[in-house]
Amino acid sequence: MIPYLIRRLGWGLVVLVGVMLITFLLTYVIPADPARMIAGANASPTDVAAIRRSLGLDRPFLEQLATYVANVLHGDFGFSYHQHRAVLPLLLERFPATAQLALAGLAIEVAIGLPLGILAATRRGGFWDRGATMVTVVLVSAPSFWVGYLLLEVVFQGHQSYGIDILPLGGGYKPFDLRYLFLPALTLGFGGAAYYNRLMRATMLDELHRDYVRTARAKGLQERAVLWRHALRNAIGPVLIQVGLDLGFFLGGVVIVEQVFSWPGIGKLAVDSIVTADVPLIIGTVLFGTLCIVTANLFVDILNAVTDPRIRF
Amino acid sequence: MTSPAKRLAAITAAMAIAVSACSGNASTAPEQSPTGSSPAGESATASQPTSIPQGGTISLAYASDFQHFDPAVMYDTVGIAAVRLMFDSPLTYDSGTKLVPLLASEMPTVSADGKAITIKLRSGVNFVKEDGSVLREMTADDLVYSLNRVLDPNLKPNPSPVASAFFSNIVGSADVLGGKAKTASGIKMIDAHTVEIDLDHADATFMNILATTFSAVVPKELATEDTAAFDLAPVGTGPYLLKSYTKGQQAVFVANKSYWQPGQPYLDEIDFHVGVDDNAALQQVEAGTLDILGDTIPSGSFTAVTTDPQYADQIVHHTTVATSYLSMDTTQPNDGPLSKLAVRQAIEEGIDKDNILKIQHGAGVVATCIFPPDMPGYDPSCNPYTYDAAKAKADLAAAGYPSGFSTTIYTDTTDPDPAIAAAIQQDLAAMGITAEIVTQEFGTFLGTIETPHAAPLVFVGWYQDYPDPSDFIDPILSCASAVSGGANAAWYCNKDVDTKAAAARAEALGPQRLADYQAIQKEIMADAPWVPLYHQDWYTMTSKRVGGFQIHPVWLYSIRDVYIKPGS
Amino acid sequence: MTAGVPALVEEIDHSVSRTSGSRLRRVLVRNPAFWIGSIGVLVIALAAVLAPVITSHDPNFAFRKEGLTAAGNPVGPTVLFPLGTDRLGRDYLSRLLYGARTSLTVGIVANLIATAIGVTIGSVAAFAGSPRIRIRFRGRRRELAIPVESLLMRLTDAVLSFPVLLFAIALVAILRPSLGLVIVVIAGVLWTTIARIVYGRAVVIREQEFIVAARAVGVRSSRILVRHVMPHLVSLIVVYATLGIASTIQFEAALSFLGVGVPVPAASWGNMISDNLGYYRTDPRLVVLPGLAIMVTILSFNLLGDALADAFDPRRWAN
Repeated sequence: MIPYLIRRLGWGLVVLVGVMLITFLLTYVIPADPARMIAGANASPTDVAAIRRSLGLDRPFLEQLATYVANVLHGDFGFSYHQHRAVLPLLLERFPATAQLALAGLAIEVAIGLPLGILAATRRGGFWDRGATMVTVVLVSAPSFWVGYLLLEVVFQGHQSYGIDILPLGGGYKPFDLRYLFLPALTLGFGGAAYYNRLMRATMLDELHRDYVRTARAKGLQERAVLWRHALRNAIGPVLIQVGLDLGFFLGGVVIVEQVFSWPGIGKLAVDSIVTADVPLIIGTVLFGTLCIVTANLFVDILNAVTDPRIRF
Repeated sequence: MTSPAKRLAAITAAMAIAVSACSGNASTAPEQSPTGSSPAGESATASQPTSIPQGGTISLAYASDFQHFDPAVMYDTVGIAAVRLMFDSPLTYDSGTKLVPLLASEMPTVSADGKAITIKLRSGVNFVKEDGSVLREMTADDLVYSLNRVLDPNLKPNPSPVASAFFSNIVGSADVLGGKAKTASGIKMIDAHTVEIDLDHADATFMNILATTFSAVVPKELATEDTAAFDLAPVGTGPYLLKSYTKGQQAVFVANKSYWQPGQPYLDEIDFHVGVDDNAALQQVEAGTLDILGDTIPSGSFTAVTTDPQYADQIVHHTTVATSYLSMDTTQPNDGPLSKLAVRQAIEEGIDKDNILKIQHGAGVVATCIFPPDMPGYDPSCNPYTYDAAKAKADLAAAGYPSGFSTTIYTDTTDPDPAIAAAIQQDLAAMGITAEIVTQEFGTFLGTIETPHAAPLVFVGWYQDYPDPSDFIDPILSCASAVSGGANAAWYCNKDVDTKAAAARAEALGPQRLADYQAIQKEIMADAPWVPLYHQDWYTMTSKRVGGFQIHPVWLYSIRDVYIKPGS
Repeated sequence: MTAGVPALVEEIDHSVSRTSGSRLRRVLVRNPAFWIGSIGVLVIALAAVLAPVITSHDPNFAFRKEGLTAAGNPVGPTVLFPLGTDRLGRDYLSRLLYGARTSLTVGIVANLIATAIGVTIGSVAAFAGSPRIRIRFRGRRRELAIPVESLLMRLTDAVLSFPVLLFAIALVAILRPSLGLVIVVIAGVLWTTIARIVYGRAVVIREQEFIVAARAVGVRSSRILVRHVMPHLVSLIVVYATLGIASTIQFEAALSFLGVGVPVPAASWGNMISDNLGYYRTDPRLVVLPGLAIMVTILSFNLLGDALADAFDPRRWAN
């Protein structure tokens, strides 16, 4: 098992290095000139040249790459051109906001998706099955940037017309404040609920067709007990694995929802960095996102390896 | 969030205003004069009006974040609002464009040859630390240090963006810029409260440089070469102190109780929220939970908000000292169509400027020449070309292009620039000219403008650095600026204009100088390097309780003049 | 190779084979999701194809007088503009119709490319194994095994570990946005799902007796793949390609919304929302209509895909 994990870990590192190289290559061919941007509209050519030199942007590509890699190995992810801070602290500063949103959004996905999935599996082909599928498919089909704005407008109208003052207007962020978290999390959760519905339904159906369920039923065990004590307990495994993978994906930045709700997380930081041609920050955010996903994959692999004896190494 | 492009560009938007006077507007908007006429200004006379109420907290929201608090490198519209809370420069402007002393005790004196400027500084001005304790008294040495610091090429992480643009006329500045000296020989401390600045050549506009935030006085021991460190803990002589700043979220400023100007500051606390979508911010101002909208009123809500009687006294607007224009490559290579005067003049007649203002709800003034209103030298009678689509088409045919030609319009991605480019495209199509639109993110866009003849047509704007007509000629329409890296998008170079502009720049301030600039403006317009399009009217909104807020012709937002109205 | 062997293989092949056509039809026609989905897809496809017939307005032409109010705001529905105009005075109906062309073009073309890449990589990975190549090294002959299977699947895993949306935004922002680039970028990041699914299924098929038999008698891998494996994958590919169109359209809308999708002035539902977003309070029509268009289109493809999956075999595709 240990060699297996080492192999997985090694592969994770390969992916990270690959992503770093690709991103660096891309940002190098970026037509935007960061020095020009820092200098502003009215700067003279001499001023721009001085800025370019001080950032090391006038050096050859390989030299810039070598410097970057050497720095990364020392834990230095560079200095944001636009935010004028070191990249790593910037990422860590934004992480709590993204983490809250990721956890809450996942919780909503699961809270909607799982019950509907179980319901659908137990009433397969019937009204509830079709109904649950329909509802969640509608949710997943509505673009989240659209749903987000509709929700914000509902809140604003509630405030203006009825004086309802529960949720903040226009989004925004306060640390660990559920009122601010609610709408972004809901918007995020709507998108993934269908997926969990489908997954739960499928794994549940799989279990319900297994012999032990048939045996349990034959023994005269109550249907409720069959469902909850046996089938669900076995069906939940793959779902939890998916939760782990999704968490990794979300922790790396929730791009659209953060953008819509002015949520100061990694996703918004990433989009801002791309727009401002902030090369060190672009590489930093993409690397960070990859790191989250790779870590989640690794974690799930370990969990799988520990809990599932069927996995061969 | 006028558009995601805009929101995406939020960070650049602060600078983009320099390039494109952007945003919302309405011809039907009630003609509302700026709330309050800057009760105090900053004229810093010893006797402040005592009627201004003190205390309370106000909040502002911006789409973009701060980039710097260090005045040596800060060069954006969000940052300027904050830097002017914490720092003072030797000079400033009254509620209009008149220069008045701030840290200087009187207006500086200029020697007979115009080359030596003597600045007398106030005594009893203290640097105050974040916790409200006094660091020490400011002296002439600090001003000398602060000016040399802007020239320093070793500032970390990067040198000042305007070191050479604004300060290279100082004797010895080249040695500092080139890293050969630490101090410029032309910046001299005469005594503890007097500084003399020697210039290479007489320049009537240098007083304006002393009013910019780049000339703000910083304490030597704290403002080192590391601007990033000073950004984190800025200390100045201004009326407010930075209490806390969370990047991407908010900055909190509190009153400097030891401020040197009696009666100031007016408020206990000022909260800047950053990264707030402009529509969200508008909702909050309407609901009264936010006091000042940092950006303009977003286009989609413009008419609804500006025509709503309940908000009538909350809408504040003023025409910016900026000109948005379509530049044409006057020296287009290979005998290109735009290199022909007759073609450019035809285009001058072919653009429907009223329509361009209309899609911005009329928030602006049609531009007919180069200088904007509020700029000394503005000449409303200068109007050499009139819109006439049929005549434009005929003139284009007469110029040798009866079936038009193909070309490209470049602009940046910030809303509403692509929309305006589309309007221009349609006007050109009516003349028979097929124009493709290329929108580029701000930094790339600037790079394109500065690459010789890369862009035949450019939709762009110029926002003043300081209120002097030279700022609209030298950096963008002179031969010296028509070089790689220069901002002369029209690649316009007229030796005669250059000679006259150099002479006018050195001239003493006064009516003759302005008349000379007006003549220069006419001569340039006869060459038709630009189609001047409009001067943006900046519309924003405040809560009912905000007093003393105006759109300032130079500062845009002068938050240090803001107070809470009595009884609110 | 004798003629008899492949024939034998094919016979076995068919016996383990797929859902019969008649059962498929029976299941499908009884599923309302199938009907709703196909009618939705049909309507949108017709709207896109017949756009110039339905409306005579150029989607990019701004009607400055009739299309804007005196204050410069869009006008609501009129006889001239059945769905009103946008902020520049362009006919909204034509923009929606031409927007359908953009969405469907990206959805279908990008997804075809992604599917082609995914199917190729997934099935080749399953059947290529570790081919040995002979090389000369220091004068000696050596055999080198190329682990094609694990290389391809590790590559798929790697791309799956990308923050794809971020990566796509960065890519489009760096290069100049265009319809072609958007298609290539989306295809470039979305092929992994289908590669994994095809691989998973192909691995199961490769262990089946008729394939083992075919291999034993020396039928070439490529022939096995094309003649005997692909037919088993068709239904799977159809289902995921249909669902893939939905996610591709959503991806395009998101890119356009962020301002890095299809460039102006071309109409795309995503950039129609972002262009007119400021109006969502004063003229919700401008935001609601393109949003509904996206939703209905994605919903239709999702329903159709689900219905097909259900009809082929609900449990097989479940995960």
